[in-house]
Amino acid sequence: MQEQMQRERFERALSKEAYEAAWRYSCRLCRSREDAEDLLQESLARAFTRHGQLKDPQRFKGWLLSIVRSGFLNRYQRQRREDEQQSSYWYEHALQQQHEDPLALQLADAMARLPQQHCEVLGLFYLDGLSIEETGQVMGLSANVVRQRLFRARAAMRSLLNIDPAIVAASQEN
Amino acid sequence: MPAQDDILINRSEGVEQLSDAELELLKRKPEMQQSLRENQALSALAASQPPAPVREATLQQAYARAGASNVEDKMTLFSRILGGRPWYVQAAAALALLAGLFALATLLPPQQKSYASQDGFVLSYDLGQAGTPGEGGDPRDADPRIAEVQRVLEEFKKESQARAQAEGKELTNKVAIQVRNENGKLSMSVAVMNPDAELLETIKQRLAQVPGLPAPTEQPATWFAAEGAMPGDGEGLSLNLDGHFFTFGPGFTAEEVERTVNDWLAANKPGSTARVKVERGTGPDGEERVEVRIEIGDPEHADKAEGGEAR
Repeated sequence: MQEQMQRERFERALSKEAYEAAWRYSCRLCRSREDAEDLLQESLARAFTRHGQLKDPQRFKGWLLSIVRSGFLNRYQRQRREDEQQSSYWYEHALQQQHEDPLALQLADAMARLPQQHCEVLGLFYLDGLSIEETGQVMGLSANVVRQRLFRARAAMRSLLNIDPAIVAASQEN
Repeated sequence: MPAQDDILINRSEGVEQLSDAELELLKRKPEMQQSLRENQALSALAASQPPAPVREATLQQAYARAGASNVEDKMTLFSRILGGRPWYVQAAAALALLAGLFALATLLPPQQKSYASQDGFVLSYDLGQAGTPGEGGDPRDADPRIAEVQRVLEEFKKESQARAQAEGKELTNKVAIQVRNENGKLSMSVAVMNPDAELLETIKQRLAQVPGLPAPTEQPATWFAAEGAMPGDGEGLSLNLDGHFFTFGPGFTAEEVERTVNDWLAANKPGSTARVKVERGTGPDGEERVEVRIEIGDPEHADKAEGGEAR
């Protein structure tokens, strides 16, 4: 009975947005769909058992993503160092999609080639829609450091883009 | 924040979302169109995620895992190792464990010296070129402003002590002065420990009345010293990390400095760690020299310890 109530409380807190953000983040961290699903399940299990410790319900999404991150670091980090060059499942998927926006494909390609810390901060901020503070909460960084990393990551991403001036011109016309 | 940064941080995707300052920037820097364009593409990219697994099924798996890990957590290490073994094996193992703990306790080093830390502020004054020191060679004698500051602070201490005594309270705040002469340049630091805002303001106001004393630079600080010791008692270390002063007492070790700085970094610069190296030796004139090197572990930080200084 008590566990049933705990589950209901947890599922109310786990919004669709938070669930999908945890899934996207798992996909960006892991190399395969199987690993990403495993990481998501494990993270939700840990979040469920620790849910009572979360003091501010408003921070649920960032809190959940920080659990995904620590779960990944605990289980997969060693393996990841060994195959640093392999792209993550998320970017593999993104690169196979038909994008209406040609620049989106270029960005996916550039992000897949960025160093981990750049890729991570860009993903959390631009793809998961986290605020600066939430991104800092997930990565264990202050807001100022997140800002610095974002600017550097954007510059690094741009340096990897093969910019077609026609794309920029087209957007100006729109 | 510059308008250029705003475009990135606000995730603006079109000119209609821009402020006047950002629109102005766009006119001057057409390349900022590229930032807007990238924001649009990032937004499109966010929409193309791999389909998520069915929520209900994933949650059921997660609950099953959570249940299994709870059972594991409830088992002690001892019961995991000895579960199912005969009682005499369990008793022998328990005795062996107790003997091991006793041996470990006798081998441990004696308790470390006790240290305490205090928070407060440092008011730093640049006094310019030093005059000729007096007979004792003390730079304080060369600048009358220092003597006046000492007098003001002594008077203040007496007042504070009398007030605390009258109120039956223990005086917790302390004030100390330190004067340095580095290559002929004289500087003075006034350390104010455990102050409240009112006390700090009072001290600043009184010192502002000292004739010829420039405006101070105010920095938050932590003092770390052997229990009871004060800044200025013997040799120690002062260092400035990202505008925060640390002062370590006599006989400081690399471990103490590292631990204190890392505690501060954990609270103020998450993700950064410090590695500290302390080398003691003798200078060319036979004086004791201490070299302290601090490396901050996160290359993202521009913060650097501005050279530890030993006295």
